[in-house]
Parts: sequence; structure tokens; C-alpha cells
Amino acid sequence: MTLRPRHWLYSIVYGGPVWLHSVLQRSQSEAELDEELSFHLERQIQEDIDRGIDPAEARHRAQRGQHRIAHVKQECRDVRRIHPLEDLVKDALYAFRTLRNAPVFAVTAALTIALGIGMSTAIFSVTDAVLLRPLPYPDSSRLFMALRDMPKRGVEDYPMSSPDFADIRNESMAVFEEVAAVAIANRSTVILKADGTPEQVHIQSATSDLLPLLGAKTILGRGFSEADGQAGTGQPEPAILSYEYWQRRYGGDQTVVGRPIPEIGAVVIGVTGPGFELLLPPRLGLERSPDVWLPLRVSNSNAGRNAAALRMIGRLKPGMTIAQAQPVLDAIAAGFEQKFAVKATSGFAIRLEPMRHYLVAEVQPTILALTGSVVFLLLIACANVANLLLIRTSTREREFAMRASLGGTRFRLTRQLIAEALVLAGIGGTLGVALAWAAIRGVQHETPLTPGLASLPRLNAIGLTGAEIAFAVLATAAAAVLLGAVTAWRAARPDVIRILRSNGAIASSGRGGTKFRNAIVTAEIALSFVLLTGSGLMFRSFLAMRHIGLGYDPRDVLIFRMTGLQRDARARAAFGSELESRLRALPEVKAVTSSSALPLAEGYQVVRWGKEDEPADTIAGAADYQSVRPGYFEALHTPILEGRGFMPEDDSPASRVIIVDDLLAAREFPQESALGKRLLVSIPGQGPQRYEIIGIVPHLRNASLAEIGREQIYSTEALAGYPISGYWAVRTSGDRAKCTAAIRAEVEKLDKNIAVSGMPRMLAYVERAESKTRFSVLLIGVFAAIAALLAGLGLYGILATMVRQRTSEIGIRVAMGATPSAVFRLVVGRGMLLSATGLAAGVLTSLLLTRAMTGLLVGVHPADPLTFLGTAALFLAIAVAASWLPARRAAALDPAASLKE
Amino acid sequence: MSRPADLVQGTLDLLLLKILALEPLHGWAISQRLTQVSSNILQVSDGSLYPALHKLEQEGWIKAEWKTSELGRRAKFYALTRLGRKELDRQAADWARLSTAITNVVQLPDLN
Repeated sequence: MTLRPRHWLYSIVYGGPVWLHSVLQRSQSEAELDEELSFHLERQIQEDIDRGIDPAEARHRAQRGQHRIAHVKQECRDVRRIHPLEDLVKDALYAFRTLRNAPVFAVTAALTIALGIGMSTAIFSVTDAVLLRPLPYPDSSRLFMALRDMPKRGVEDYPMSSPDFADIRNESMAVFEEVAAVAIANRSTVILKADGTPEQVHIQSATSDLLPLLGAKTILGRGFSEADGQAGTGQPEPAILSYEYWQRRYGGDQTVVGRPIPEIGAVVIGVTGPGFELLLPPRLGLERSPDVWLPLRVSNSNAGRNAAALRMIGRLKPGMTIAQAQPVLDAIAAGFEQKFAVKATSGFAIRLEPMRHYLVAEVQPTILALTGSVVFLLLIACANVANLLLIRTSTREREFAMRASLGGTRFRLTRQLIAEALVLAGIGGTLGVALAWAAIRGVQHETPLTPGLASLPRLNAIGLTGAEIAFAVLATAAAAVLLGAVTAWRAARPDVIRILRSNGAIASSGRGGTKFRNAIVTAEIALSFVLLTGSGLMFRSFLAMRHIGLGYDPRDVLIFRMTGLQRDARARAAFGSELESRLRALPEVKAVTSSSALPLAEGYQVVRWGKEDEPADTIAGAADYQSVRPGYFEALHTPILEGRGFMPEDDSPASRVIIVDDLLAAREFPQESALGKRLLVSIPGQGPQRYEIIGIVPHLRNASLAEIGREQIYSTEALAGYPISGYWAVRTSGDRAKCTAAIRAEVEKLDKNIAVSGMPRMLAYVERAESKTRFSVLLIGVFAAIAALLAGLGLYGILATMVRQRTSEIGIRVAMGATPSAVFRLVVGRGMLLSATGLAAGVLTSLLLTRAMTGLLVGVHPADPLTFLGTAALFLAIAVAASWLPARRAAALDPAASLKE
Repeated sequence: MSRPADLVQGTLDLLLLKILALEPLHGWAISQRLTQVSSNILQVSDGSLYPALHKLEQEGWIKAEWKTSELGRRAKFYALTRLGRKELDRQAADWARLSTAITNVVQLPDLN
């Protein structure tokens, strides 16, 4: 009969219910079978009696009939395919017993699988939460950031000004269903708690449509209205509380609506639902769960046309694709370039980016690299266990041959082996899920081992959900099938006669088996080589990053910010000078300074600059700008390469001096010293002016250690109008807690209305910048170490088995005059041959794969020869170590004894 | 006496389907009917009959129903399904071709 697909389909449709009935309603189905067959038997007896057969003979026949019926029933069950289920249980129990007799093997194999499954499930949970799961907003697939780029200045994602946003919103109605904006800076201020103790409260401004756009529910009062977003009503600002702040500060008071918040001149109009988060990349420095929302006023006035104020989020209309929407925005951007000369010189582009991608773009390469590594680890773990199983089956060949000769079919033997693999994988998988659970908990509670993870977006969405369990189950099933198939394929074809005849002194398990195991070990070595090179490259990047001269000494420097400063610039200037002298008077304080921005913190503004004689409208250089207090470089131990630092007399609105970094100096004045030269710079609030360069300092990495970043320009604070939000940096000696308390006390003595933020160490910013790499280095390093260990064990297993199986051959060699060292070389040489093959494959794979890591590497090429050579050397060392014991054993063999064996 | 083991492989299915095509029967009656219509040449043991019936049921070619038998006891009656009818036609046609072919070969006159 040929296989007809329709036939199978019908079988399932018609036979399925019958099968289900037999399986699910087991007892009823059994009873029916019983009844059917005993009916038959009774009729048979009746027939015999009717035919006049001797009653004794009839009874005898009936008894035989009973026996037969048991057999018939079994056949009927077989036909109904109930049998395999039962057998599987039997096989599994038998497998348990066999494994219990080999505890070392069973524990090693199960733990190896557990490690593979556990690690990959844990990493998958991160991948799932961060990269795969949609954002927790309605129709989140249609949410896009509309980012403003300045292509001609090489600046991406620069905040928009309020009037730009208003214009873009009006002109892009064809593509967006809803549009909103968030302010680029969130404020935090100190508000007294109900019991009178001060508390830092985070305030975020957003246009009135942001909360509805992101699906925030209003559980009390109302949301922002259109009118709330209008400028200048003179009324107190309407404020919406987060559910969490409402509970914390007001104890969930239902009558909170209408309550004023005098500290920020606002009045409560509503409360959002619990758990609402603003998911934007951590580098923007916005609070993920703001306590208070204020309306962001959108102005049409051209005055603020060039200010950086907000970022735009929009939901595309249903059915609208990014390919359809982007040209519309391109046209709008082109219109802007025509209307505004400044935008033409810098270039003006509006780039749509999916909101989810915007959130995770920074961490995506790391997570993908980790996912890749962990898949390799899982493969290596499986290969290792497969190897163990193969070695084990080779030692059990006699058992299998015996069973085969006693009538065990190949099918039965195979099934038995698959059952063992299933049991092993099952135990390993269960342990693995437990391991993953522990690992995930470890990740969520920041430990010294997992620094910087807090900056991972959507960290709290990471967990063992259905998807993770499904992943673990699938991985376990795949491992089981793989292991079962590998072993069954090898072992279920025993050459019965040869093995049984060979009386135990069998030379080897057949060339095929050895080749197969060698292939697995070679693959294992190749896979772990890839992991080790990956981790080596990461480690080199990490070292390179450490070697990047910071250009300042972040040790023993405390950073703080203040809110509630005086509104008047001159008052702020006076306050600053007073605070500086008071802090400097403290015995623990060695130096004090302040700046509008600090490296690796936030706060840099991008300013335009050009040659002294260029037309002001077309200057197109872009530099990071910060205004600093005189003595800034000295306080941070930044060397001044040429010229001098700012003096107190430079700190006047009339002064026209700047300090630039060596990058800008080298670019603009390659042949001569930049000192004393003049530049046209558009410092915010000053408009384009000419400034004299009085000093040159080293270039600092402001945004990230991995990127060089823009050129840098410094001015005194007077030119920037004594910024209201800046950083203070205090170089201290001695106890940190004592210093913190002393600084706070000084500020309070000066002005009770000023709130001081937390006081992190400047070093913490450096550590945070390193942490992304450090975390990857750590994890990939751990994976690689495990992989190398597994590969070493695999190699050891192969060689040890080889020595055991070739004992008599080695005995003959020794008897024929081979020296122990020759035997030693034979075994080690075998190990080396396997490793070299694996290494060659590993090098090729690595060359292909490490290129994908480029985004993660700093100062090191993906095909870095040193890393590759170092890893190869390490591997050869591991191979020698793994060969050592078996080789020693082989060399020490007593020829007489081994031949007898 | 020809035992089922001697039956050409796979013909038991055909015989069962054919007998059930005449009327729904329980297992005992099927074996009786088979013996009877084949003039005692074909006999099927319970050991072959019931697994075969269960297999046909599993394939969806026959369906089973508990009914009261002629002696007043509950018995499992099997009946041909629509699918079984098609299968019967197919197998009968196959059989006809096969048996004709075999007969033709067997009846070739000897050369001497």
C-alpha cells in the first residue's frame, strides 16, 4: 500500500477520537475490550456444547481461551497504540535505575545540561524582555520617535525646540494619528512628606497628549486638557501625580484633587494608574517613573526657535508604514532648511525610529552577543554530554549485544537509549530552570557582580514567564532528541557476534564510533574557541578602555547638584562664590569647582563654531560646550597643555576668552599653536561672538568611553549667565559620609531653601560608563571559561577511553620495544591532532562571527591577532593538560598485564 | 483447513470489510459468517480477528456500536463507514487484479 496523505488525514480525523477514547478513558476502554472478548469466548463455549463436545473438553478449551484472550487484548492495545505510552514509562523507570548505577556519569551529565539550559534560559529571559516583548503601551508597534538630526554637523538625536515641534506637529497630521512631546530635562525638587521630612520628588513635563498617547490611565480626577498646554494663564500649574507618589505622599487620599503643591506652584488635577513608566533610553537621564507630571507648554514664538527643549513621539496612522511616513517628514524638514538659515547650515532632518528600537538600540549588540555566546555554550554542553553518553555506550556494548542476541529488537534498544537521554535531559532541564530562576533574581537585585545592570531598559520586565519556560522546555527537548539520536545511532547496531566472541578484550569499539566521538570533540573545541576569542576580544576592549586617559582624576571627587537656587543670575554668582570659599575652608576638602556639565554625566550643550572671519549664519562646527568656574581644570587635575586655565578675573560677562580641547586645536590649527587665535562661537544666550583661545586642554570622553565624541569648548560661567542647574565637584580626603554631611550642612547654613541632590562619587560615572563592557566581559568570560572546561573534559574523556580501549595494542607496542615516552607522545599527539583540527575550525568560525561584535569593541580589531594567538595557545595548553593523565597512564602500562587483559 | 496465517498478507482486512459491507455484525458473528460464506475454507482465530477489527476501527474504516445481540446480551457491533466503503472498493479492485494475474501465471501450460 502506498502512502497517501489523504489516508493519514482520514486516520487522524476518524481514528483520532477512537485513540483518544482508548487513552483518556482508559478503564472504560479496557472494560469494553474485556466485555467484547468474553462475549466471544462465551459464544465459543456455547457453540462447543451445542456441537456436543464433551463438557470437560469444553471447559479445558475455555481455560485455554482465557489465556489466549490476555494475549489478544495486548494485541488490541498494541493496535490502538496505547502501548508505547506505557512502555515509555517503563523505559524511563529502567533508565532511572541504570543511571543510578552510574552516579558520577549521571550527575556530571545532568549538571552539564543544567548549566547549558539554565544559562541560556536566563539570557533568553533578558532577550525576551528587552528585545522581543512589545512596549507596554497600546498599539506600541505604531509608536515612533521623530528624532531631529543635524546631518551637516554629524549630530544625531538632538532635541527639538518648542516652535519646531509645533510646526512639525501641524504639518505632519497626514502621517500621525497622535503626537506628543517630553521635555528633555526632568526636574527634581525637595517636597516635604506628610511627616515633615524632605523628599526628592521627580517632575517630568510633557505635552498634554503624552499620557493618553502612552495609554496611562487616569484613576482619579482628570488628565491634562488642551487648555493646560496653553502658555501663560497665571494660574497654578495643573499637576498629575503618579499612583505610586499618590500612595506614598498622600496615602491614596481620594480627595487629593484640587490640593495645591506650593513647592512647585502647582495644583493636583489627577492621578495616573499604577505602574506607568516612561520608557526612554537611560542615557537621556529621564526618570522612568516620574512622581509628578506637569504640562509642557508648546509655544509658536520664534524666540525659542533654536533652543533644545523636547523630544517628539508619535503614533502613525493605522496602515501607515515608516516607508510612507518618512518622505513626508523629509519634505517638512526640507521646508525648515529653506525657512531658517541656521537649520540649513547645520542640516535639519527628522528621522523616524520605532520607539522600542530607540529604547534598546544601545544594549542590543550586547544582548545579541550574549545570546550568541549562550547558544554556543548550550551546544558545547550538549556535545559534551553526547560524548559522555557515547563513551558510556561503548563500555556497555556487551550489554547491548547480549540483549540483541536474546531477541531485543533494534527498536527496543534505541528506545531504551532515548529514554535514558530523555531522563537525563529532563533532570538537567529541571535543574536548569531552577538555575535560570536564581540567575534572574541575581540580575534583578544588583550585586557587585552585576554592576550597571540597573541601566538596562525594562529590567523589571525580566522574569521566568511562559515564554521562558517554553524556551527551556524546547531546549531540553532538543537536547534530549539530539543526545538520544546520537547515542542510538551509534549503539543500536551492535555487531553481536564480534563483540560477544571477543571475550572482553575488544580492541576498540569500531572505527566508526571513534571517528564520531572525535568529530564531536573537535566541534566542541571549535565552539569553545569561538567563545574564548569573543571573550578575549571583550576583555581587550575593557583593558583598552581602562587605558584611555580620562584626562582628569575622578577618585575622591564627590558630585552634587542643587535645586531651588535664586532666580537672579547675580545672586547665583554671589552664592556660588560664597559656597566655594566655605567649602574650601572645610578640612576634608582639597578643591571645589562647578560646571554646567561633567564628563560621562549629562549636561553638555552642542554649540556651533567656525573661523573668526566666517559669516555668523553659516558656521557649522559642532562642539560640546560647558561653562566652568575658574580653577575647574586644576580642581579636576586636568592638565593644561598650553596656555592657562580660567582666572577669577576671566569670570565676567564682558570677557571674551575660551579654552578648547586639543582635538579642536589640531583640527582648526594643524600647523601652528591655537593659543591666542580667535574663533567664532555661538554660546547660548550670547549669539555668535569672537573669542580668544587662552588655553588648550586634553580631549575628554564626555558621552561614552567607547566614542571619541565631539570637540570641546569651555567658557566661564559668567558668559552662560551662571547656569541654574549645574554640577559641583568636591575633591575630598577622608571619610565620604563625613564629607557629605559637612557639605550639606554648609549649603543649609547658606540657604535653607536649597535642596542638595544625592552625592555620588565622580568615579561612579566612570564605572557606569565601563559597566556595559564590564558586564559583557564578565558574562561572556564566564561562558567561555565553562566552555573551555567542558571542552577540556571532553578531550580528556576521549583520550582516556582511547587508552583504555587500546590497552592491549599499547601493550604490544611496549612489548615490541616502544619506550614509555613514545607511548606518551602517541597519546598526547592524538590529543594535539584533535585540538589542532578543532582550533582550525574555531579560527575560521571566529573570524566570521567576531565581526558581528564590532559595535562592542573598543580599540581592538575583531580579528585581533594577539587575541587569536593567545586563545589558541591557551587551548593547546588545555589540550596538553587534558592529555596528560591518560598519556601518563598509557606510558605506565605494564606490557605483560595489559596483554593479558 | 486454511488458517489466517496462510491468508495472503493483508487479505483479512478485505474479507472483514466485505463481510461488514453486507450488514453490521459483532466479532463472533463475523468469524462465523466468514467460515460459512467461504464454505469452511477460511477461518479466522480470535487472536487475529480482534486486533484486525480494532485496527480497522482505528483507521476509521469501520465504526463500533454497542447493541443487544440476538441472545439478549450486549455486544459490540461493527459497521462499515463511508470511508470503509471506499477502502473496500479499492482493495477489492486490487485483489481482483492480483488474483487474475496469479491465476493467469499459475494456469500457464507446462512446456512438456
